[in-house]
Amino acid sequence: MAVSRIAFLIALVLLAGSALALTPLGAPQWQELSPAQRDVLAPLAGDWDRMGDAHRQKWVGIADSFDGLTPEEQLRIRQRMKAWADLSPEQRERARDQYRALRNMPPEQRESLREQWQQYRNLPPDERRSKDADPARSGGR
Amino acid sequence: MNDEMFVRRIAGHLSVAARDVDPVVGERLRHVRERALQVQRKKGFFTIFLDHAFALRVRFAVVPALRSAAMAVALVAAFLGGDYWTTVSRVTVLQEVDAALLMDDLPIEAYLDPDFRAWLSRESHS
Repeated sequence: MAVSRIAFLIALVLLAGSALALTPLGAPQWQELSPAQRDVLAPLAGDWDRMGDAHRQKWVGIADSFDGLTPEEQLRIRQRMKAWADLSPEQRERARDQYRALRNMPPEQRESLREQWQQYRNLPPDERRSKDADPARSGGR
Repeated sequence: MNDEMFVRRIAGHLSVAARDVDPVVGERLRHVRERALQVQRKKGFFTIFLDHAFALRVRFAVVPALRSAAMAVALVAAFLGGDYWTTVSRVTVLQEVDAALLMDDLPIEAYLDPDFRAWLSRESHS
């Protein structure tokens, strides 16, 4: 019984050690990226080593699918990549939530989002916010 | 002199000495000797059996250790498999959403502005 326990513990320790040594999904270092991947992900070069494995792997996936995108989509991703990576995890999660919510809108409403965004951007800051949410406008004074 | 030679020598002495005893006693001795030999033969069979049993015991002492090691391997494999699957799923979701968001018509600011969604909702109801 003692032998089996010791064997169990030894196997567990060895396997756990090797498991911890493994990088999930093999998230690559910057030097390990292909030239094409480095070219796409160039805006992230300075942040690459600080990124988590999952995020690195995500960007590698995006870089690998880059050739299948339209030039306009490629340009947008290149332009926004750095700003996106510079956001805090909470900000990115909030943006994802908002994206999911807006994507679920009816198609006709979804198509007009860009115009509505421009319309919203042209509003004075006071008018952008809900009157109910603004104590100065809700009769709270 | 090893044990076997010693036993044979004693057996030889006993055989020779048995000729000098009373025939009735000699006959009883022969019976007793045969019975002893039978027991010895049986003991030989049991010895072989016990040898196998000992080997089995040794094997069964090793088997639990192997079984425990196999359980540890299965445990860690299950953990790694679950972790791998979770990570793959998370990366896939992140990749899909982030790529779609980055190449979307709307700029990132639109998705970061909590008032925009509320404003859209108000606009759609007005």
